[in-house]
Amino acid sequence: LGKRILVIDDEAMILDAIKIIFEDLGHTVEVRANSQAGLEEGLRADYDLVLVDIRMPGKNGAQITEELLKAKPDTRVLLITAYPNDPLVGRALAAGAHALLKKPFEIAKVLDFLEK
Amino acid sequence: MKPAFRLRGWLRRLPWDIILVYLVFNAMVGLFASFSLERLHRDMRNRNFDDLNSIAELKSSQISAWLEALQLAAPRMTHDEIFAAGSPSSPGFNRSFELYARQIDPQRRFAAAALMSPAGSLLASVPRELPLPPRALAGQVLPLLGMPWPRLSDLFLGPGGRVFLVMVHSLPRVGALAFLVDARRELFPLLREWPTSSRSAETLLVRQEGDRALFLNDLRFQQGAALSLTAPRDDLRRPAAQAVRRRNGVMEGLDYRERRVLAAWRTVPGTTWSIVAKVDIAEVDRPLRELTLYYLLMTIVLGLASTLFLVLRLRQLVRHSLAEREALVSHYGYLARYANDIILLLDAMGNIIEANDRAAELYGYGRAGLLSLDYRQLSGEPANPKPLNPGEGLVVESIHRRKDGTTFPVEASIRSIRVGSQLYTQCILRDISERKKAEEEKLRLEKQLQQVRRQEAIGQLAGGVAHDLNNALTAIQGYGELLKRKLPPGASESGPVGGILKAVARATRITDALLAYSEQRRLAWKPVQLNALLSSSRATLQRILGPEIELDLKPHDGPLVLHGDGGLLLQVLSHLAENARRAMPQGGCFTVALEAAPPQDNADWTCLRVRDTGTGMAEGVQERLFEPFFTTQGFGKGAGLGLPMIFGIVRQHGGRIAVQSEPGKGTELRIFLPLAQAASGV
Repeated sequence: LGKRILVIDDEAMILDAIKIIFEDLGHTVEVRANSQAGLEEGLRADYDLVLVDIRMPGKNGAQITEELLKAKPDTRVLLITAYPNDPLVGRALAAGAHALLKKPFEIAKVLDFLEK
Repeated sequence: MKPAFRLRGWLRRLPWDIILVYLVFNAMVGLFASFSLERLHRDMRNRNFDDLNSIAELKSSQISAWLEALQLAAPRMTHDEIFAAGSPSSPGFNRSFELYARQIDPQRRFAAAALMSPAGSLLASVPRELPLPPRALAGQVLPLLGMPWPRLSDLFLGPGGRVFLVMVHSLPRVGALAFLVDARRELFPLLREWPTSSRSAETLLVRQEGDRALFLNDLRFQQGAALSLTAPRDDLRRPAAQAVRRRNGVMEGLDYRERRVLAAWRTVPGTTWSIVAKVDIAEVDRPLRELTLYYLLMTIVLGLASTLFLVLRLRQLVRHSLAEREALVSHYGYLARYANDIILLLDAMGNIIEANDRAAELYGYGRAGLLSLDYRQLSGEPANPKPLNPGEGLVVESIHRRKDGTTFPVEASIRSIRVGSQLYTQCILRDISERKKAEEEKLRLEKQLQQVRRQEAIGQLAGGVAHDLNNALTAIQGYGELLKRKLPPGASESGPVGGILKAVARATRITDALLAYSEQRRLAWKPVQLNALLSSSRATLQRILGPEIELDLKPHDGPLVLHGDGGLLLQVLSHLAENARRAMPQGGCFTVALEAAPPQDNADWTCLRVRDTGTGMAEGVQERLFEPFFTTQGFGKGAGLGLPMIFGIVRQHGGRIAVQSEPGKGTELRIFLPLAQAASGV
């Protein structure tokens, strides 16, 4: 029943929280603080949901979305950001990202996406 | 300027080198003339005295010679020769005596010859009638008898004013032979002769007679004076008096006519007489006078010539300096007239007495018009500028009025100048409208730039804080929600987990506001019908304002469509209503009006005018109105994030906000927003 979730964010606090919360809820959570490592992980394995931060050192969220969805169009990408008005958000959504969650976001919303 | 300074200045400008040469030249001419005249005078006097001395000496020796010759003529006569003619008492004796006398004096030098007895009676004479009575003759002859040589009597006066001299030759036993000499005929011509022609020169023969000097000869200017005219011996001014006192000498004195004369005298040897040669000073000084006149004329001519030269030179210098000054004045006049600044000249009362072309142009009065005004009418000040001390200046900025009533700012440079004894005020005024405008614009832009930088800095700070807080809140909210899931349903609402989630929600509102301020809110861009939006806000606003405050919504006549986020714009109105409520605790009126605004940047604009009748704001408050956490409400009464959020939202819509407020007079916010391009014509 557990789903596979990949989280790419340069904020360790976010990564820890999501891993603890969603593993506690019975899901498998893989986290990457490095954007390039995150993209490689996303391409290497199949995940039910990929949570991507927009602003990161190295590759940004829009680039990861574009490359990931180009290789694996079925992957469901959820953007998480503290800057909802970032132009990269529009680019990522245009590339096929599923939705945008503004930090702080509700766990319930992520679970909704997992269940869809 | 004090008269002493003026005099000093005038003196300094004089050409002293030329004046010095002039003075020295004239002094030298004068000195030379006076020195040479003095010397000439002295020389001439000496020569005059020498001449007179020579003449006196000559005359003296001539008289001596004459007397000697007279005496020498006598010794040839002897009594033998006389008595050869017979006895004096015989009848033919007189005839014989007459022959004898003619024989011994063929030239008839003697006026008469007489033979007298020792007792003084006349024995014979030629002519028979003597020119003087025999008794008078005897009186002269008897004192001279007894000596064996011829003796001469002194001059004496005979009948008819005739002057005689008698030569007596003693004849033993017989008596004496007496020869009568007419002095007028024999002696005086000798005295009258003068070696040079002269109008006033003469020689006087004098002798002492008691305490007076007696003139013996006839005088040139007074006939019949011989032996009758005298002069006091003690009057030392008289040459005649001096002559009877001293043997010889020279002097300046007064003659018998009371004329000033030069005289030289000396005694005649063998007599009691003195000869005086004299001449009028007026005559001898005539060449000197002529020379003096000539020198005087020469001095005057030289003086006049040098004065003329000096005057001409001074005039030339003055004319040159005047020409220079005129050139300077005309140059200065040209500068002043066509200067780019206003130049006014005021008298001591402040009346305009001179104005340049620029003044006429800028004030709009024309030159004649300006000259009938005083300074107050241009400056609008209650008083004319007081005359300053000469040389002092004053620079002030003020507002001047044109003829048409409009005003313009000027920088006035005021200075007092003295022309003659009058004090004038010179005003040079520069129209500083452009400068003022530029200064104000610069100030405004600087202030704006400062404001923008400040907003940017605050925006960056706000954005950063919101970002980091949101990350932390994400973790907190996630853990909270996880905890909530582990509790039985309903148990978590009022418990610690519920508290955590409420606090997170509160913190999230703050970070949302900060994000809005830093323009990081994500807008749902849609066409928004503003009139409809306004209408739809009524209920919400009414609820926020409460019953005490009147709500007045004024939609625009035509449709106004904006491309933006209607929900956020409604939030803007709600926040403004909340602020208005706080500003009007006693109630009032809250008005929101939609108006068209002037187009900008090729787009139509609208103005959302939001006004309350509340407490208003001071200027210091207005400047910081949109800063996050700036509040006038005090702690706990408002977070100070409403207006910053409105500011961010309006900016994200491409708009701007203008605030107008005064304490006690309410506040008006004008929110300018660009309208959607396609919808502007709808």
